[in-house]
Amino acid sequence: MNRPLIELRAVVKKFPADGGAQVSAVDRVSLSIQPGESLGLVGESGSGKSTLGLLMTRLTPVSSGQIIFDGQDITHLSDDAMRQLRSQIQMVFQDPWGALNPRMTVGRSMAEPLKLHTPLTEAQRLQAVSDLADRVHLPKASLQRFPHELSGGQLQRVCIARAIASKPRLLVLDEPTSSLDLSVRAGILELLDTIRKETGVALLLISHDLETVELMTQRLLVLYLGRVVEQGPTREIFNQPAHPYTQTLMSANLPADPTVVLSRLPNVGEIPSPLNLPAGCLFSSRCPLVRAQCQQAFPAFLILNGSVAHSNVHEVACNRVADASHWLTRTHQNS
Amino acid sequence: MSLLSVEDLHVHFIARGINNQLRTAKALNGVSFTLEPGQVLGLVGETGAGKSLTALALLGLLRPPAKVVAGKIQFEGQELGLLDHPGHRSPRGKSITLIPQSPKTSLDPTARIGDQLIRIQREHGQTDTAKAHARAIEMLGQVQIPDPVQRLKAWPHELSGGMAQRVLIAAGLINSPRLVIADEPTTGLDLTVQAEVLDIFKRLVTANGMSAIIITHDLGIVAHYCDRMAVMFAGTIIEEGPVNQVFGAQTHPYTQSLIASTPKHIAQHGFASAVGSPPNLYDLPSGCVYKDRCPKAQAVCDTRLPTLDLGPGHRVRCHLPNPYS
Repeated sequence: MNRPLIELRAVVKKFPADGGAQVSAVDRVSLSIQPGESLGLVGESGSGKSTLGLLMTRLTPVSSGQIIFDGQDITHLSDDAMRQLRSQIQMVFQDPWGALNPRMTVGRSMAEPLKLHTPLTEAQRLQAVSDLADRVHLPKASLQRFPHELSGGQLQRVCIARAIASKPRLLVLDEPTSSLDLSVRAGILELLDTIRKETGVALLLISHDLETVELMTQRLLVLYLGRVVEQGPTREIFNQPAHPYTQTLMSANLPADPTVVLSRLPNVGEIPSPLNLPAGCLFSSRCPLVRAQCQQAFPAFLILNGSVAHSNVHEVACNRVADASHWLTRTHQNS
Repeated sequence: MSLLSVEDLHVHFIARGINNQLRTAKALNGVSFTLEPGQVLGLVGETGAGKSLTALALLGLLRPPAKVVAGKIQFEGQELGLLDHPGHRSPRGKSITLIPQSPKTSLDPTARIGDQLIRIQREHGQTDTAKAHARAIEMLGQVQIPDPVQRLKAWPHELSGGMAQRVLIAAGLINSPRLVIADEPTTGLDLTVQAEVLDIFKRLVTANGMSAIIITHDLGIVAHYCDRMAVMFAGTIIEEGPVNQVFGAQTHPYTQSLIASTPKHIAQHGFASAVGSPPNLYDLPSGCVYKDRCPKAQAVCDTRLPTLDLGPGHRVRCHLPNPYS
């Protein structure tokens, strides 16, 4: 087994809430990403997906737990040392309109990371920016333009170019395509896929679009109210989601094909407030299969397949998995 | 007789640019479609294709700088004016209603939801407050809001996104319209909530024999909740037909490229070739609006677009449609 590129060990992030209470946005999350691997992160809004992305890039400090990047504990690395490391961990945000300085030309925006992270001269930088533009299929003329003059898809290409300028080893993508049109989205996904294959950069893809995650990632992590409830190889989870929450989530997906018959699981209502979490298993308040045992303690992870050593483990935190009574009954509906 | 028929609708935005010259953005360029009673039509297309604008035109809500340049809208055989003036008797708002997108900003933040639901009825002729109150409770129950009597007293900010969207559905259906237009009804909602909201919407529309137009960019919603679909590009409906046929045949090259952009399709067939930039509405090409992005474009595409009939209710506007396979 290779040494993981990045590893999170029981990471917790708490935010203060009204009346001195605390909300755990991310709770005891452990995960690892191998070099060149692409990991997907799915969950509803409020499940802590974006917070996890911010923690991983150290854009927000952890409350407890450890973050290890390439063998080095970076949990409490000083800002100076972190700045050095930033060239290796880069992020692409959801909203490309908000992610770029409106008063800088796109070319200048793209030169910024090169200024920070490379010893290139001015002339070399210009060349590098022009190469980057080619890399992300951005017309040369747009380098002289300002962000408001470009389309959303082009702006997202600029953000990706900035992120890959310093040749990072980990790219955290927080909903990189959800604000874009379908056809533009496909172009961005293709670009990310090519970049990963050619440079060997590892990807963390945060998304609520299941089909995008299925297409782009090798491993998948399902987050519910800040805790991992299931993780494993993407294909395996899509073929046989084990946790009742994952099953519910997947059954709500609407494939863009009218010939697919939807098989719906019973409706489960809305996600509870993180201020008032259910006891035990966090899904127990919505789970159709809940037992008394589920409300006592958060269930232990059970390995369904694979092994931790080969980083292909498929594990799930559900009490009903032990006696294989975790399958929800589907109602077929013809829409 | 069709419930709704739209013929050759043209909407332009006319405004002065920074050089003080008048500029015309041709936002709708000859939109034509019909809707039969009981049908659910999905209107799809990319940002700026004119989906929401078509809805606003149907509702008579366009205001300058938008201008209806040409076109005819008929509803239940009666011709609707292109602009409504306050005080006019019109089916708009009563028989044709809108379920707007962004539920959190579409409710009045200063009124309890019960009062809003009663106000909508009073506006359209229900003078008996007790009846309106009972109807509001009934509608909240129908959109599966738990404890509707108590919920009538809730303020909009107390509702979650999914709940607020249900209230808007209740508001849109409370006067028993004949046609309801839902503009991106589930954008921003989580997957599981989206499924519930769409199920409720579809069930109520079908049960009450209403027709609906769902505006969306999500082909999954169209595939599973609509009977017919219309694909828009640059203010033109380039293909219209029964959902199964449009997905199955993919006659128009743009329809084909949209479907080829879905992750499922990419997973099976790989990435399709890159798409071009969005059309410039200030300077649309003559002939086919899609030709600059179309991989099949030829000289003939510079000429006036034909409308081809491909069978019952299936029409495509293209010189070089894909052969039916």
